Amino acid sequence: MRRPLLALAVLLALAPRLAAQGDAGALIAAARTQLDQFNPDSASVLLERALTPNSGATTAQRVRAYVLYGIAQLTSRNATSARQAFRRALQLNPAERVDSLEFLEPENLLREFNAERAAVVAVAAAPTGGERLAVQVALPSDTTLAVTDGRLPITAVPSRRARAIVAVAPADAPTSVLWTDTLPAGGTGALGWSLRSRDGTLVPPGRYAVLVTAMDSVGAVSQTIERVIVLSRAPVDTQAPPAPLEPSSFAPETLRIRHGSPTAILFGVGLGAAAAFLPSALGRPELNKGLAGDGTAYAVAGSVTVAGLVGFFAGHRVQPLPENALRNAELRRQDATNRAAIATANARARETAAVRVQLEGGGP
Amino acid sequence: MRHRLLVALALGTLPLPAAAQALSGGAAGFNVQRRVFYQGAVYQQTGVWYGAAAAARLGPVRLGLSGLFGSLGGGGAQSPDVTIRATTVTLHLAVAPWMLVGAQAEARRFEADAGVTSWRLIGANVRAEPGLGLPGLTGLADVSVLPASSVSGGPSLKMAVQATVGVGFAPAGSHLAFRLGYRFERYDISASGASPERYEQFRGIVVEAGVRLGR
Repeated sequence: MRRPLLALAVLLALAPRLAAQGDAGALIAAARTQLDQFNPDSASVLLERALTPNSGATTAQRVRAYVLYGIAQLTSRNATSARQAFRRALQLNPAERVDSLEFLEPENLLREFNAERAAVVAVAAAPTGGERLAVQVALPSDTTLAVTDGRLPITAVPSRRARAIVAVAPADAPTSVLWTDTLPAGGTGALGWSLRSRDGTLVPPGRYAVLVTAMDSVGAVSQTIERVIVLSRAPVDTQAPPAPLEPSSFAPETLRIRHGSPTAILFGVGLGAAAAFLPSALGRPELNKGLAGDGTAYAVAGSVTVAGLVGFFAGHRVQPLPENALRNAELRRQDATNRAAIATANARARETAAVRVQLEGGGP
Repeated sequence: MRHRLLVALALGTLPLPAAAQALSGGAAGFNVQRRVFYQGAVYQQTGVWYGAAAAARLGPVRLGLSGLFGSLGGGGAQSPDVTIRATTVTLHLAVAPWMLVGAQAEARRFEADAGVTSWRLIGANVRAEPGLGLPGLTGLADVSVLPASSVSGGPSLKMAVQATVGVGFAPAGSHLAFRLGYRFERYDISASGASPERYEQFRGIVVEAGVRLGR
């Protein structure tokens, strides 16, 4: 299990480079190797790259890529995608054969491929006076849609009574269908794409392929018509965030008061007294009897007392101003709330910005 | 060897944990007067002790080590000259930014011509350094009560108390720190055999200068 995952990671890293070089042949060969190693997911990734419009693949290479992609999808138990791929291959080359590849998918390959061949042949041989089934597609050349309820009208008109199947996929990955719908045979009007993928999320801006195929009641299938549309978000009017609060906006939260705390004097005088009376308070009378006071103790006592007085008169203390602190906190809270509201509104404006849809090659 | 250790501590060259939030160290001088009451007479000696101290603080815990050495003399024939060495270890817990509470253990060695006497002084210590209104200016009150004290191989100490009161100053923007204090020690030694009780006290000015690193 780990080896296929590792191989897939390596291939995902290499695939863009190979595609950028236009080496579709190398991509197809690498995909074939992955199929031989029973790694259908890795093969599919490589083949999707080979089938992008800018891969430089020749018609023969595209036929080969569609066939291998169909085999990979069969291996992954995705028969619908497999048949679509086979159909694309047969539309490009109705004489294509897959007998030599049967060993890759011995259970279903020939059956599914030949079923698609029969359908394509039936189209070619349809008894309609020699008229082949075709479909015409109409899309607005340039329109803007709301993201909430906007729908892109896609009009499909078969050349005779037939149902029209419309699919939308990324232009560089036409096999990754995002949305599909069917206009019943005899139906009129347009199908509407809500610009969302199957899971309901809005598709990101980019190039998308609209693929339209008609199929009549006897299974005749038209050639798939592809139109490329470009989706982009319309510019929105957002609010600029407010300027940061200036320091002058805030009231001082503390007040500097001249003179230190009275406790400085208390501590200074108290410690001075303690130093002066330490010998008599702690000493034994037998050892202090007949002695005058200890001069060194008085010297230290005076020093400590003077230090306390200096600390009080030369010092300062800071008195907190809780009202101003509360007011400043409220100012910060309001500013944060205001910024959050603007950010939310801007995000919502961007999310709900209309989507511009332009038909590539559809003129101004 | 012990002197080298003290010098190393004073210079701050000992390897200490890098996680410590503060390191401090310095040198000290103690101008001592010793008075002894024995058999009804009072004997007095004087001298100067020198030493060093170092401390490391990690969070609320502070570990300190200090040493003093010096001599006492001038007591006459009844009180022979002695050489003194004292080594002290303290372990403190900060209960407030300016107050430490902890334990202290000290070994004090008196060496005279007649022999060597050692004291073991063990007990509790409280150290307060309240601010005095200016940055770096603090008071100092350091009191140790050492009830688990005794003379090595001799009697116990009925009372052992040490107290230092003073003022400290650490100039703003500098790592230097200075301290001036008055130190007083009292020891009441129990009677032992034919020897009656003996009382001793040490007192004098303590001056310290050092460096402090960290917060």
